[in-house]
Amino acid sequence: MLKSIFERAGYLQVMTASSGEEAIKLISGKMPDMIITDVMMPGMDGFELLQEIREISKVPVLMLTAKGEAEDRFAGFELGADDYLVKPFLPKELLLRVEAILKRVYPEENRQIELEYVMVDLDKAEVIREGKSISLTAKEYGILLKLAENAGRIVTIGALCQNACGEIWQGYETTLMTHIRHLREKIEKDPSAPVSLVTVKGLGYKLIVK
Amino acid sequence: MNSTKRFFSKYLLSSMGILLFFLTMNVVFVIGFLSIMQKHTIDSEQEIQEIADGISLDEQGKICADEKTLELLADKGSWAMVLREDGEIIWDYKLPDKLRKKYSVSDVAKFSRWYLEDYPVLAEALPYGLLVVGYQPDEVFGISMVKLYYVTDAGFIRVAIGGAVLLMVMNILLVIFLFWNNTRKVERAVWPILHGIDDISHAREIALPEVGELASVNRELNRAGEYIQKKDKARAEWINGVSHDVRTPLSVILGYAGEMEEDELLPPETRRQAEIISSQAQKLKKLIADLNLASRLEYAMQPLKSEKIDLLELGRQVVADLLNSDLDENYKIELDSHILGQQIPFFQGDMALLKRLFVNLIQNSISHNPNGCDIKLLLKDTKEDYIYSVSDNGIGISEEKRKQLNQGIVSESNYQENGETAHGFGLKLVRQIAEAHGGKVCFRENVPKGLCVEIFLPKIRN
Repeated sequence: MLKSIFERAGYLQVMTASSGEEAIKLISGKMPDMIITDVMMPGMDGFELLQEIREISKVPVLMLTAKGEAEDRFAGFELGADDYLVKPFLPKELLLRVEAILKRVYPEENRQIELEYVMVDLDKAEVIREGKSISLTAKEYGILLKLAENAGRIVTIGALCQNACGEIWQGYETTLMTHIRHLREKIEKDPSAPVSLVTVKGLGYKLIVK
Repeated sequence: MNSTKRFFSKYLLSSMGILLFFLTMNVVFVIGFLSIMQKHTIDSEQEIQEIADGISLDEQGKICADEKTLELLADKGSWAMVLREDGEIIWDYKLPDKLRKKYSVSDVAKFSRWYLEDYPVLAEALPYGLLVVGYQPDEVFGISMVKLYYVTDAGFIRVAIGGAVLLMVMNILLVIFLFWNNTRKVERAVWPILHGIDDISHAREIALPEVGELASVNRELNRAGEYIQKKDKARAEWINGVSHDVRTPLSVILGYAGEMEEDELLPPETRRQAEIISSQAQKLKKLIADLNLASRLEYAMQPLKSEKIDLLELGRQVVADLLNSDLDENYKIELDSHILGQQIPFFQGDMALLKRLFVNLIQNSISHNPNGCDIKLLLKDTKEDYIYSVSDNGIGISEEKRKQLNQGIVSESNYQENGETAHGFGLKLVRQIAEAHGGKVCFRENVPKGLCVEIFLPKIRN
């Protein structure tokens, strides 16, 4: 089933194995870009397979499981799983997660996003406005990156604060507002009437990409 | 059970023992009392006889008493006289002056039965006259004991009466103490059992000490408690297992249905059917997840994480997630925190569970108002609680149902005509999560229409 989902989604080469042992054989021939494995399998289970894979490669691994319990999830992450998806899931959900992992692990060259008035070069952390480049501060870059990853979706104030200020983020809302204002000055034509970095009242912000 | 019988027969025996002991003690006391009284009591017949024997007529026809008799009289402060046939006093000893007179036959008749001028007297006929012995008047009860057959000391009678009262009081106290003590013993043995029964009825674990006479009862209770706990746990584990086993086939259904939905080569009718399969399978997925969590919470199998949560951010994430997930445009969701002050509403709790609570409430509003509605999350800060309310302006629910929900009843009438549950596990879970955080849920009518659910989250948890 997974094979047909991925092939339909445009992935060129999808290989399947019906057990952990078979999978090891398969990847020792040619290492894929990404591995998706179930936890519960006949013979070698998903965690064992993950350990074996980690001994030979850093290839991203997404684990599928019927268990949603925290202990299981931790066990998977400790062994070096990149993501975890609890069954049952929608095909779309799986595709989105795989895409996100692939984007993270194999970053594209020239990650650029096009906004209403400016282009943002995420690799160089700068904004290109009317041919001139304006550099972003680390915090502004962090916020913009987070918004860009979730382009078109609402990102809550808390999530942005955490992104910009780290672990102890609670209570940094005014700081965040300052950063947002500076960002708008760089990417908007009229910072007081934003069209790219819009406020969602009471919730957070959203980046509108062209 | 034998030892239990033994326990109760022992109680019966000890009660009987107390009664027996009590009786014996009183008998001993009465006997002792009587024997002491004996020493203080003189047989009046005997006494007068002794005095009479000690008084004699000498050769000159004069009456005289011997030393012993005089001593006997002096001892008790008594007086004595001998009357001639005609009533004249022919001999006397310490006779009070007012009694020195001639006695008529009627006088004699009176005093021989009663008193002579308040003096209790005894009389004895001698060959030469009538011997009269008078005793000191006795103040006890205002009468004298002397006129009875026995003569008892006045002082001793006082002591005896005091003693009797004391004895009575002591008897009562002793009986109370002994029975109280006996009952206490039984109570001490029975109390843990009653406690255990209470624990079992509240589905708490019990561990009674299996010692003493009632050990067998305790053992049985422990076993009953264990059995119930085991059964509960088995049920929760069973639910857990079933929901686990259902996940993989459900994934396959969702996967293929999703694919068919997207397949442009299939006829539109088939694709529409695939869409229905997919949406129903998603409902099933949610139902199973709710069922599993509800049973885990009920049997405390779900460890509650405790972290510092910004309640406002919690609401933001819930609303943002819903808005990001392509919500039908008939529904508007809004988060209102304008009543809140500057302070960050921190709450110690389980973020994932609380999110689940609000998602369930919002989804409840959505599924109840298929034609769309406005949903509002409002966070208030009172002295004791944070009150998070989820209200909609939809069709609302009947007052009867609201009452049921407030009492935590999920009745059958909540199953809708199309066979779907309206207030099933979703709302049960809401209550369970709120209660796990020491809070409560209150369903009320929204003005002008719709449903308002308030979640009270106490700032200080007991």
